[in-house]
Amino acid sequence: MSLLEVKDLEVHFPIRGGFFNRVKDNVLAVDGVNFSIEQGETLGLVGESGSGKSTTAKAIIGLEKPTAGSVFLEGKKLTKKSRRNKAEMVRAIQMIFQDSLSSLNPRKRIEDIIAEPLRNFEKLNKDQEKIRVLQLLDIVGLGPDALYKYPRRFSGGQRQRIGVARAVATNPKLIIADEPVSALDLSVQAQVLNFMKKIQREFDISYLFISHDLGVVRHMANKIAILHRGRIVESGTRDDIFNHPQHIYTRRLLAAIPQIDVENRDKHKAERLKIEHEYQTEQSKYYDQNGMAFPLVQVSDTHFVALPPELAHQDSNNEGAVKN
Amino acid sequence: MNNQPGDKLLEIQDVSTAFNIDGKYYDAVSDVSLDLYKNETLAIVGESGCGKSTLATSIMGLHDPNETKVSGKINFEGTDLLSLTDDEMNKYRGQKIGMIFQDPLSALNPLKRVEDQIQEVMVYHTKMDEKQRHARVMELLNQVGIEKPERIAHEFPHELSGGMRQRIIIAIAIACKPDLLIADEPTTALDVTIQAQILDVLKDIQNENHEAIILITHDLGVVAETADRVAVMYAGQIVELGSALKVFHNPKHPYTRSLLRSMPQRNSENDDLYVINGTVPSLQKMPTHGDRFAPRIPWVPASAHEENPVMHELEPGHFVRCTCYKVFDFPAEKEGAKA
Amino acid sequence: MWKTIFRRILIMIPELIILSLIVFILAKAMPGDPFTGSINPRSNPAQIHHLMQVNGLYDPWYQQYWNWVVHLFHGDLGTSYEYQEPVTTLLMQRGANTLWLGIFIVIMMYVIGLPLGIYAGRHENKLPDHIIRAYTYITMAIPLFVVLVIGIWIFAYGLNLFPTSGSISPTANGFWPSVFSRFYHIALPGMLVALFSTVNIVQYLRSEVIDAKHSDYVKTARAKGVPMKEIYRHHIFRNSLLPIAAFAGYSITGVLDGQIFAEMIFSYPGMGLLFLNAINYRDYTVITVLVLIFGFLNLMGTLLSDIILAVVDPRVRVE
Repeated sequence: MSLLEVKDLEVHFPIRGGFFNRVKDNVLAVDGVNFSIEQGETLGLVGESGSGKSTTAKAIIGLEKPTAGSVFLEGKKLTKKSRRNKAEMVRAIQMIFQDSLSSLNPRKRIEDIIAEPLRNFEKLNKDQEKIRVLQLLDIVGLGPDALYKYPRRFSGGQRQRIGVARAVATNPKLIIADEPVSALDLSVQAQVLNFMKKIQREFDISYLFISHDLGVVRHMANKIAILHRGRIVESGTRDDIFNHPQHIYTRRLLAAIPQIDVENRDKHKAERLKIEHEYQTEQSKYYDQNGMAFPLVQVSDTHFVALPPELAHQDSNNEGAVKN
Repeated sequence: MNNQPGDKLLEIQDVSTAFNIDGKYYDAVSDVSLDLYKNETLAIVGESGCGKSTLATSIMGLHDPNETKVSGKINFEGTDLLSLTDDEMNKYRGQKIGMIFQDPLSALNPLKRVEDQIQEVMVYHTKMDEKQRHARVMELLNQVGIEKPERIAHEFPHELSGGMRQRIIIAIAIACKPDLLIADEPTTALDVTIQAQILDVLKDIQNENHEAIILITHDLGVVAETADRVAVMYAGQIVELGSALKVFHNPKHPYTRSLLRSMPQRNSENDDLYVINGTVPSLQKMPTHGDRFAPRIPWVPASAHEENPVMHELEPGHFVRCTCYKVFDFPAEKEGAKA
Repeated sequence: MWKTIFRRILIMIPELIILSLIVFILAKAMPGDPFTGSINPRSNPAQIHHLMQVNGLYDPWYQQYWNWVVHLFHGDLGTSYEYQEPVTTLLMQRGANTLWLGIFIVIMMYVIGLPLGIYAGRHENKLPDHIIRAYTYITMAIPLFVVLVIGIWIFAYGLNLFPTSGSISPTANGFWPSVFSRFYHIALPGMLVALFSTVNIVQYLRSEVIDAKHSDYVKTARAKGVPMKEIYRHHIFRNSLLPIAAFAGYSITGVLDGQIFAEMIFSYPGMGLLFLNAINYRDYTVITVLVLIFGFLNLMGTLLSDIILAVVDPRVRVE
């Protein structure tokens, strides 16, 4: 049984209009997304802005009401409204946000920020609580002098580590990290990513790692799902996605990543333009008449691609055509 | 590299830019010297707070003189821009030097139509009449790859996508065919696929107009894909300068090497990323003596650093600050994860 | 857009019905009645009783309310108990007076407030800015009625520069003399109210100008080589005046507030004075109608603000 299972998740936003403000149409922010995360594993959810990746995260932790579908944590359905269920879920699933400054209460000291989830879920006395907070700070490499400071006093990277410490406080099973390093400088990003990996090793935590940065996702996630227009167009292991991408959108995304390879940049650009051209001309082949991706087809044990029915059969031995 | 570098266009000599913080001035850029040639793309790369954007706005003269002191010389086609008045500088801004900003939504006036915003720059720098300006707007929109120029020109900024808006900003910047284009994080707010398109547009424009581009970015990948030469900045100083090929394939300065090493690499997913010791000093705490990067590589003996680090030319065109690069090496692997 | 305006007006109908109900009940809940106040030693209690009965004041409130609504739809707003005149007639005279004064106040408020706000924002933290801000703080701190009382004392009674009461001189004949006489009567109360009501406009505009000054699009305009003077004209002022324009609708309510004081102290026969008297004399018919009109103006003001915003700001769509 998977730790987290997301089944046929749909989040539609109504577009209202007309004299009586009736629902005219829907924005299909998330439209039939399926995935599962095993214990101690990281799933990378990749997509460009508007692909529905953040909406998916919000729907899992209940910040956004799903239109349809269900989310299971260790086999228990989360989308039910029971109260006890909710408290349990809040404890088991924690979140790290992109903007660490606005997600930490500026009027609270670090001690209180980290202790808050502890106070909600655990009955600790003052001393126990302080020891626990110090342990948590230590895990993310911050010393006891951080306790009484306010979030503004810390740099972006430190704040993001405080966010990690807070997320870990309740011993969650899953942490949803929504663009956790996008606002950080390269060297600071490295630090935060290292701590996230360390915590995963120590506590056997699972991550849903949401990012637009494929390089970071490759580093963090052993399984990756590519989201486009509210649907998953391709999912598989790191190797499947990076070495054997099959969907035109995945290939286009990979080709667009800037490479640190000055000698071959003209080659790389030519390759990218070729794929871009292919994307423009053959797009209709990969999407149905509404511009939505097709259902996923299994092409290997781990690899799923949203291929159109006519391509799905002949394509399974054709993989690895694109390498870069 | 694709382009033949032309004559020298811009000569930055010992430029320092200091900001007034609580009555005292602190250098955000200190003693930067840099040459720029026609038809080349020079990338200035570094992390936030390194002074790269401040340098760009100093060239443009966009700082408030009441709060900022800019010293040194910025020779542009023989004129020292720093000696000009604001009115004189207005003849350069928009006409000879164009600028592209990071956030294409906030950089456009939300209440003006795209066409008016592009025309504005021609109103002040050309004698074109309304009709000619309109024709030029259409031409420009075509040049930046907008397919329905008539329609787009009539829209307001909020009606366009991020990529479209950035194309509009580029159209404004190149409207008067400037000799120098300064692009400050032009693709940071954009998706990767859009980023690639915008960088292509910039390259195509350069191939047509042969202007020099200063590309300011924190993204090493973008630099490696587009720059002819690279200047790496740390704490207000240039620490390494050279051709893109040299800087990426044979980086010398410890900071450059550390940055490259802290990037997530292919096939090293199970290793920890390299973390640079400590943090970038704030403006008020910037060391005034010695190698500014020294506190972040504490295992390198003090004797390896210069007392007043200067740029050393290792090969023609490849400069590195301080002598510490000679002995610098990364600490043993297990140290890498330490904060 | 027209559809939306129409819908908004339709929504106003239930709002006004609820408002009228509340006002009606509250007015009835006030102690006293319209006639006790005019009792004198020669009054006959039986006659007052008779008057109450004839006017239906002993009926249950819902009966009275229903009668009132039925009359309303016949264009009959009732008769004022105090003035013994149809309310409609009263409103015609008083309404015109109030409109004159109100328009004058609004115009003066913007004439004074806009340049001050722009100037303060442009010269942020310099001496003129400090002076302008001090002025707004002072006007905010002093209650309006104090200002009006002092104003009438000095300029009208003391220096004899302005009349102390009324809306027009009875000797003014012909078009121009009467226009001049009206203006002469509203000048002092109008100016005083306007001078002491600019704080919102000035402060709001000032911070809008400062925000716009530091915005990215101004940086873009600078990078285009547009002279700073032109940037102020084409970018900063235009963009910061926008929320002020939208504010105009809401300011109707604010002006009405100040105007009631002015009309009372200057004995200016407008709707505000009428309203105060009506409350004193339990003139129910007048109270209800006036509150309804004020409520209606308020709702219209809000709608007007939304419409202005939609017209001047392309980002706002009234849909």
